[in-house]
Amino acid sequence: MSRVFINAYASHSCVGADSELMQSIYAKKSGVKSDGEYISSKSVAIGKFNDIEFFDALSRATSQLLSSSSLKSFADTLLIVGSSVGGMATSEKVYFATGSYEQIDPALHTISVISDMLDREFKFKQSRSVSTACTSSANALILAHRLIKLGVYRSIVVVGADALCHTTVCGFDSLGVLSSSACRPFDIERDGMNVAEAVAAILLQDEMTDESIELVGCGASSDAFHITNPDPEAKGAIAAMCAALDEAGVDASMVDYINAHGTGTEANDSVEALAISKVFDKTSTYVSSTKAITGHTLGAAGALEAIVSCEVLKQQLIPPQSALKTQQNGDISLLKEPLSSCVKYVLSNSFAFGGNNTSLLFALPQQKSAKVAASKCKNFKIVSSAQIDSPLKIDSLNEKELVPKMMLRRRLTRLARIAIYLADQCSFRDGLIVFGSAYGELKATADITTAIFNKEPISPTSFQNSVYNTAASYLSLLHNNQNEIITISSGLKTSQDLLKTAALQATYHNRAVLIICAEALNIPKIDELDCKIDLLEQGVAILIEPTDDEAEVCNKKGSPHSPSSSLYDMLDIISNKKDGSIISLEL
Amino acid sequence: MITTDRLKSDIVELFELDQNTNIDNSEPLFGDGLGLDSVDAIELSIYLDNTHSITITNLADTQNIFASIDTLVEFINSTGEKSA
Repeated sequence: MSRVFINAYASHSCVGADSELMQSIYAKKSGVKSDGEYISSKSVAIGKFNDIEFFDALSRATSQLLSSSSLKSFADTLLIVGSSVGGMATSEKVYFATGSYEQIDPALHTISVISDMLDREFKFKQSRSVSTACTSSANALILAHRLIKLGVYRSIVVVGADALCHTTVCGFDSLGVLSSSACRPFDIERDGMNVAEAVAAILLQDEMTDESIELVGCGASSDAFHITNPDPEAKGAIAAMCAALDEAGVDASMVDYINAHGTGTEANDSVEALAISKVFDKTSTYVSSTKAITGHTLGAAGALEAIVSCEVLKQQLIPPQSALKTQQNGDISLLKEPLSSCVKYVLSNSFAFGGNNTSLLFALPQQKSAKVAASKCKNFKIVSSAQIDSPLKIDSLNEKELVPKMMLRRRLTRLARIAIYLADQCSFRDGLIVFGSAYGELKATADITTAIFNKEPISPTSFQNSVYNTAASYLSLLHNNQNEIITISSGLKTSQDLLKTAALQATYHNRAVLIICAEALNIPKIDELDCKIDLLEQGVAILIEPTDDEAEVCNKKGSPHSPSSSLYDMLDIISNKKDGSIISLEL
Repeated sequence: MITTDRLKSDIVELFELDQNTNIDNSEPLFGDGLGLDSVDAIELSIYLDNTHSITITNLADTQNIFASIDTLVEFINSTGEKSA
């Protein structure tokens, strides 16, 4: 296995660009400010860029990343973007100006608008997009780690990017969790979180330089407890942290600092403190949440806080917990001032809606690295497959049979219903899932923007259901499945990237993976929307497992094609291959 | 004024419960009873505002009010058009 090094990074957040991030963290100078743009009825504090538009910050950070690396271009580099809202802010502007969905350009709405823009400007070898809400870029880093470790790529750029928008600010407000001032994680007087925007770009390579920080372990899990509330026993968070330590072969006592998810909400902080206290000894491991400085940058948080983790290792200086007066969670060690210390290992936590948990473990590299080169294709057996191609069929599903528990069944989104049906057809209950959708749960998204436009209260149920990974999370809730879930949203090449991600997950874990791609464009005023998006409500699922048997022909080798629908590549496989066939997939 | 039956049917509709769901008047609505959660508590406060013009300013104070159908009916009928 190759080792994985972080060799360059660049960021932009509400505290400014690049080195301003750590200066603000160590000086306890928050960039979060009170704002009236998104919610007029009351004061909420958010983290907004001071001097730059979102897409300009994205371009600047990526350009800075390239110039601070040893690369001349990104021509041989894979781009993995993690974002929770993609082009939502652009769609909102159009909708709020016209009161109609008609003028919204689907290509500028999707998660993949970020990778599309970066690809146009910087010409990456390939790109893909992950959308698992607040773990989006942490999951992007996990996929990058595995691809380099297996020798599939030598160089990968991960970009975490989320712009502020009404949907997230008003959505979190509907859950009653926004603070009117900079958040105070783990403090007895904390009163909520701050939504913020950020761009964080990281270059991961298989070669060690004098400046390298090593990504030594990654862990991920699902709570299978509730879509927005964390499991009070913290089983999922503990599992993710332990998996990161296990992969690195590092004992918990060796971890010097944890950059906590620490949103400043009662629900997160108490559960995370419990999880940390169950795994780590407070005498040897310090904790802080830098969201008090940057706000919660949602899909960008994993990458932004990975940069913080790398800097802590380089500067050998542990960040304080900003805004801490009286600690509530007494079972973890927080500092009120920076502490100069010998720092060898740093863990970074990110948790998300859907009970999606990630932990990343960073280290100062010890010895010289070894590299491997691996085939980009692996063979898999199609264990089972299923397809649903008509809204009528989805309407007629016997949901009581599929989902006996009413309290779960009542909130199922359209995408979740498709996913649950397809998983059932594939006889899948427990295991790894990769889910994909180009547009996500559009009904929930439209319900939110319509409510904002009409100045009506936002349904918190719509907000939790609007997140791209909710559908797969409902599936894991149904079967108490605590395995990793990755959700991909790469526009029209979603199923193409899903197959690659599934091939990676199946190879890395040497286990079966259920792949589901689905779209549910059943928004209420569909005739206003159908001008730009082909009407589509369908899903396809394939359960694959790794095999050493020979494939008949390698699937889709050569140059990437332009698919006509987000499901195209998976539909192509099931229309040409029977269950039991061996296929070759690119990782 | 709201009747117990009307509130029950509003709750079935609001929380998308099965039409034939039988909610006991004194059964806890949250936790181990019917099984509503913190997101439902917010939905319930939006319902009170929209349907009964009752504004809930602090959800933390609603534990006794949202306890059961009985307590909720009593609260709505005693609060009326005033804000809570």
